[in-house]
Amino acid sequence: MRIPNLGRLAWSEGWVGFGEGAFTLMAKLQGLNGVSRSYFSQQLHRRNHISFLSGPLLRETPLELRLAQASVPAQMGHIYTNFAGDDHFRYCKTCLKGGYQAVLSQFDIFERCPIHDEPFLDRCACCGKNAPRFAWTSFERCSPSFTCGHCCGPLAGGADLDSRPETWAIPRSLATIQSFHTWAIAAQERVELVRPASWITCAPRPESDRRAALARVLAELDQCMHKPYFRETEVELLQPVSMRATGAPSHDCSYPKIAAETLPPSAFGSWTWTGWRKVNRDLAVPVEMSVSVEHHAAYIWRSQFEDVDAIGFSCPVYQRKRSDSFYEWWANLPTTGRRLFMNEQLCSMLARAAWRAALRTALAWRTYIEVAPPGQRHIAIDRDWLLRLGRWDLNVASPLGYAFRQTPSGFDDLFLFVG
Amino acid sequence: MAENLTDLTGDRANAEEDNDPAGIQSLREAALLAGPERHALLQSHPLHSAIIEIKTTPVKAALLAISEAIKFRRPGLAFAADCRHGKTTMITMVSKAMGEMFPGVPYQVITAAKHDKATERALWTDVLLGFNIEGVGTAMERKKSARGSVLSACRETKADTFVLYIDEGQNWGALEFNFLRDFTNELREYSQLTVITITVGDLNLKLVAEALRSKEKGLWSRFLRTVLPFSGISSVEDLRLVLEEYDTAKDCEYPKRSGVCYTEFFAPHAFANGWRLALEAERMWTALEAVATQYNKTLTDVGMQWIAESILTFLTLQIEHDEPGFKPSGDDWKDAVQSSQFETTFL
Repeated sequence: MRIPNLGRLAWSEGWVGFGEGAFTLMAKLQGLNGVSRSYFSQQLHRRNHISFLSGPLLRETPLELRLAQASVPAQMGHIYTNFAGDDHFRYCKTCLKGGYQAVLSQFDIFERCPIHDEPFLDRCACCGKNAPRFAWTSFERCSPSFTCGHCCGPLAGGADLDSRPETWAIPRSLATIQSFHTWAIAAQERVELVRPASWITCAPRPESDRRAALARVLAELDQCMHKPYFRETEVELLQPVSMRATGAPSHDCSYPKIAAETLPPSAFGSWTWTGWRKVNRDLAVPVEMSVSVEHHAAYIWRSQFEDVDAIGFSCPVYQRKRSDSFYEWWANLPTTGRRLFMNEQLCSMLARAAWRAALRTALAWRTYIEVAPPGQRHIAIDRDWLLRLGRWDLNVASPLGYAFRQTPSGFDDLFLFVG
Repeated sequence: MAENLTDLTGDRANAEEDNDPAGIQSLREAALLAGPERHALLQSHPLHSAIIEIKTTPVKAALLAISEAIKFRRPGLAFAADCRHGKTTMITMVSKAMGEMFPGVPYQVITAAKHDKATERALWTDVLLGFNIEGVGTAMERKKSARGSVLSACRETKADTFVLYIDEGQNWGALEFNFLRDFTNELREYSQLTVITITVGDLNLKLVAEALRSKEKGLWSRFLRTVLPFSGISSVEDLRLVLEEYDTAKDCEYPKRSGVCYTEFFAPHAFANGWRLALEAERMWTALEAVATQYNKTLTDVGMQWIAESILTFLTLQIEHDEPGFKPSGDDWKDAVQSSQFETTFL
């Protein structure tokens, strides 16, 4: 084989360790190539929109490296941005002496390296000054490096890694890292379960509660990390609210009429028709803690895809589908991003499907449960119906991807549920 | 060894077409029957543009020598050949073949360019150009990129050996080989990697070797101690082997998957009646000898470039004479050899 390269820079997949953070990956890329750090950063900033994880070099990343990037914050999205408490580069000394940093070290909930059982450091081992910030804005002038910017010594002490690629070594035992990332990726996907297109069915708990809940999850995860498999812990990080639609096609005014015809007046609050993504309709649902918000959201999520097929989707994007089921097509998309959601036909279809799903679900609720009159909270639940609703597989992988960050009005961009 | 190059680069999705008799027949008719399709195919025939990669006897000898060098990790091996003997084609064929024989050993072909001033920066520029790696900055920075490239290649395959093929090696001198030695020494010392250099150049490479031997024996011993000749076609038998390649569709097939060899394409009627290009070996060699005799020279070996061009001219000129009883004459080959300008070899 010939010289492998990444955008005409020397590179090899062999340098990438599972769960490795982008900081050390970029430092390695710069260390392998005899370009100055400023030149390196300039090349990465050549395009207009550059993020730490979507620079032109990483856009040309082979698929394998992109898969390895599953460990970096881009893939962890909500989890990383909302629960990583330390903006400075955190590392295990022993890991970094081999040029490796597990991205989970950026989670301040983790205090010790799961590989070497050493404390994570956020300072230079030589001079004690702060390590670089784990943010792309820190590297606009020069690329990441294994060298401390203050004392110019190696961050973790030991040999100079920048000019000694032969000393780079990936830790052998990465099983614990793999366990964590398996959970993290699954959790990230589950975020979308509670955010079906156009619907918000739950609200986040206070931040302190969320962090405490996540800590419980991670603590249990830590106990299981040494095992090849672990049970995911169900943690209630969300509290149910009434279903609220946040999006509907502005050019289709038939839905209010349909809703009025099929639901009792008491199920409706007032709504305003303000255009795309601003429509606000409250459909009352019983507040019943025995019905998890995930289940509720999952039913709507799954259901809307059934409605898509029924609607008869004619979007050109959909025409290229490879399966008979829209859901399968959607789930098999290699990536979904903002561009996909710029397709008005697609969004319109999704919104319509979501509406129908919501209506059907609301009707089902109404059929099997007694909708509480205003002021009353006690609801009787038909549990057999719940089991029948459970015919849908809750382990649905959300293909919405991580670019879909449309924040509904009044809610944080954080819905994390582990189930 | 490398099989049919079309097998290596062909479209796997068309594998089913290989077993489609109707499709093959259709291709054959397009190629062999007079008409616009054949005319178009004639214009685009690979003989006109592509380098014909035929495993001649010298190429096979080079393959054997290089495979031993890789197997036993000999640091350097060199080949010197006269002009138009197909050195670059040989490197291409050999590197691909070695890549298949030793799949875990990374390799790269670079060209040693001639610079008005030999500098370390120019050297690493050549190396990075061959590596297809961005080359910016000072000489040390470029050297670092070159080292990173070799390390990455070996990391990819988990190999501890890297093969560097250097074409036009006669353009380098003591300075360049000195830098290269330091480079390989560093890789060996710090990364436990062995770099095997295969240097190919024209006959001046022998002069370079002699100069190094007298003044820089260490360099000579490392890179140019063994300079093997890469000869051309040196006998009628070797020539016949080359011509036989044109008569079979294994390596010389056009259109692809048609089963039509080069000879059949140019002379379908004659081919159908048993005529083969290999039968012309004696006549062709006689024509080549005649040119040498004109200049009071003895024909020792003929570069593959001259052979290929003579054959192309012959086949092209004989298209209009294609018939079942086709019988070329010595004059036909005389004209073909003359057209290839083989006589310039003796000027």
